[in-house]
Amino acid sequence: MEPNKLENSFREQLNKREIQPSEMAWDRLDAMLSVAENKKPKKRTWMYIAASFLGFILIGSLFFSQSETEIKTNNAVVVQENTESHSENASQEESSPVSSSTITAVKPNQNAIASVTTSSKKGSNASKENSSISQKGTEEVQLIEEKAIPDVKQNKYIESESLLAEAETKLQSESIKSSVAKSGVKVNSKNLLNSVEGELDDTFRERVVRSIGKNYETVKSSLATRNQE
Amino acid sequence: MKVIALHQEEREIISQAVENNRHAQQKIYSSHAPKMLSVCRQYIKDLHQAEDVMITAFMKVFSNLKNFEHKGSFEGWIRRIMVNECISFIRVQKKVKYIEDENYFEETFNNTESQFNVEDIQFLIDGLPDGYRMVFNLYAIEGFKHQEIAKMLGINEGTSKSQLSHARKMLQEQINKLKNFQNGTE
Repeated sequence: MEPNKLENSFREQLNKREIQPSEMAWDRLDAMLSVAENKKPKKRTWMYIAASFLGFILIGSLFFSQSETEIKTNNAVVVQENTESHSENASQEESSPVSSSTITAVKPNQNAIASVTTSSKKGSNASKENSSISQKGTEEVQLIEEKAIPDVKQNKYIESESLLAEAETKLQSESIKSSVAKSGVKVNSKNLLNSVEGELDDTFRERVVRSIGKNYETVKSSLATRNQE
Repeated sequence: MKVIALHQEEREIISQAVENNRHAQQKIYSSHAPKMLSVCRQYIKDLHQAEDVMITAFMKVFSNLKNFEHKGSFEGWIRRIMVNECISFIRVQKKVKYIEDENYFEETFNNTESQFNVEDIQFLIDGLPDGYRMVFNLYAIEGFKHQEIAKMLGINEGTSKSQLSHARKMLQEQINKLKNFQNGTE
């Protein structure tokens, strides 16, 4: 099966042969090469634009869904606070050093006194005796009731919107206060979680803003250099 | 020294062509196109089609030029691309049917000393069916082994061997006919 003499002569003859291509051949190749050259950068810019557009949509949808959930959680808190301010006006204001979540647990008046006192004691001094706790607790509750009376009167005439705003500012101040108050003694886990959640939201927002800025820059630069390429 | 200088020049032109220098590309094209059209013509009967295939193969040459490693000869590299392009053209254009018989025979190829001119040789090769022609060209002219041919065409090694023996037999018949014809007229 080895190539024989005849085939060798075939090969020699064929390898010597040259066929001159038509003059049009180079022009066609030239045209094809220029088309290929022009295609490449154009394709890329379109891809960049498409990619950044998709990125915008994705980030936008994420951002909006995020803000929606935020609103929902705010509403829930406000509703809780409103009901509390009507049913047991006192406990809400003075318990501000304690977390808002502990307030929700408080229901009947008697229980409220006990829980507020114990929690406040936990916050300030854990080493005190039980008897003194109950005494102080009752004093505090009395104070609370005195303070709360004018508040309740006002509440009747205040519009719902202003009430909401007030509640919101209260919430913020509560979280700040609680974080400050917790410096030494004991840590309320729920409160800590709440504050961390807020931080998480903040960082996510920052990230979103940063990525939007980046995308904007890429689109801007690709549009600007489009004609140069 | 001349060879080295030539090699240097070729490298220079290739590196320019990689940068899409049209002048360098044209230089490469015009120095290799006649030979490469001859190669394509071996596989494809129609000269216009052969030229089309050559142009597309040159497109591939230029788009892959950055991958050329200067290890073998540049012409050999281009030739390989041409052959591959011809094969894929034939496979796409015409559905080549290979007769799947494993029985190939050691044919007695008359080692006639008769010298054919290139036109006769091309005529003889053109007379072969596509499948035979491809295997014959790859084996006898390009010097590939059956294993390599089988890989390139996506067939069995046995099929490649049987295709070659069929092609040789057919060529022998054609040569005999041609000789008789020539003897008759003389």
